[in-house]
Amino acid sequence: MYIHAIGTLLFGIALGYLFQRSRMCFVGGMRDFYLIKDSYLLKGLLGTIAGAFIGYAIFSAMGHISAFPWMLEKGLLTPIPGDPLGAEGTVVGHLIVACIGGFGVGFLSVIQGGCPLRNYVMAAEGNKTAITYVLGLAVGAVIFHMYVAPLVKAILL
Amino acid sequence: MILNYLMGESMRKITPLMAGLAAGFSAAILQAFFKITAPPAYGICIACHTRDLVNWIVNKIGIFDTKLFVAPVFKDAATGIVASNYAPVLTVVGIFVGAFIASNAHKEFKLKQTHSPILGFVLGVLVIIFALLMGGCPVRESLRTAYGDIIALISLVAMFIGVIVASEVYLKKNV
Repeated sequence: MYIHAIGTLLFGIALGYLFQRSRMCFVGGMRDFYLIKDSYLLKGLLGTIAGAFIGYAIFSAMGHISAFPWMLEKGLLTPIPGDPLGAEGTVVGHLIVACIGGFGVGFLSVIQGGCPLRNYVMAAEGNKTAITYVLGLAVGAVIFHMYVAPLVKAILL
Repeated sequence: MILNYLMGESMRKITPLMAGLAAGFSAAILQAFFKITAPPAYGICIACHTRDLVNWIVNKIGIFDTKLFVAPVFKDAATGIVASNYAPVLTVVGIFVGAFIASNAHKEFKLKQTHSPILGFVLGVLVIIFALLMGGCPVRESLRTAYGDIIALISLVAMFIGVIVASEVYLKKNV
């Protein structure tokens, strides 16, 4: 019953250490690649995809993970659940929230100077802007589920 | 000599590539053995796990009468018990603690600010709203892409376009 809390905490501590040492940032990787053609940080994003793919493939073959690869099991344009539309959403609806959400995260994260992950690390390094940003994440999560998610569902479902 | 220098450098330094590979593989381990799965590809997500933690606490305190959404992590089919009712996922707490340990161990902890903390707060609120709209932060979009979700790949492309537009209209003016 508590294995998920213990597991995420321990893995989080180990990964937080690696993220701080490597200065890993997902949006920063895209920004540096576009602005100065530097792929050093972008390799973090590609590495995450590669590492996850290897892990999913191994554990799927061992039978610990189901429905992998997703697009072959569930259909080409069915998203993994996560966006507010859920299973009732249409393909167009999922694409709209994916594009608006992706664009917004990319645009605003460049202004903030890093993705949410990088800001957690910067907050732990003593950056006051990042600390208030993390508080903003917490407040925004409640706002999203109280006001934004019902609105999006009303428009797109 | 250059090769020696590069080898020495890479031995001492943790690169983003190494951290990314470790993060991706850890996410797969967390899903396979620690049951971080209601939606798949949920092993690590900054936005969603912040949401799960905050909403779990808000629900427990009961300031609002509404039941805010918490991802039903690990629903046991046999007993019907949902583990996330008992405890929230603590990924973001772990990452904060781990980064704090690392910055202290290497004497990099220092109070500073990059821009106005009030602007930072507003950006935080907006970023998590957009992130939850697409169903995850950049980390989870990468995990979803690795899991074989084309919509997630499209959202990463949209993110790259957002980065390009912000670089053009904001960064190039302010540099």
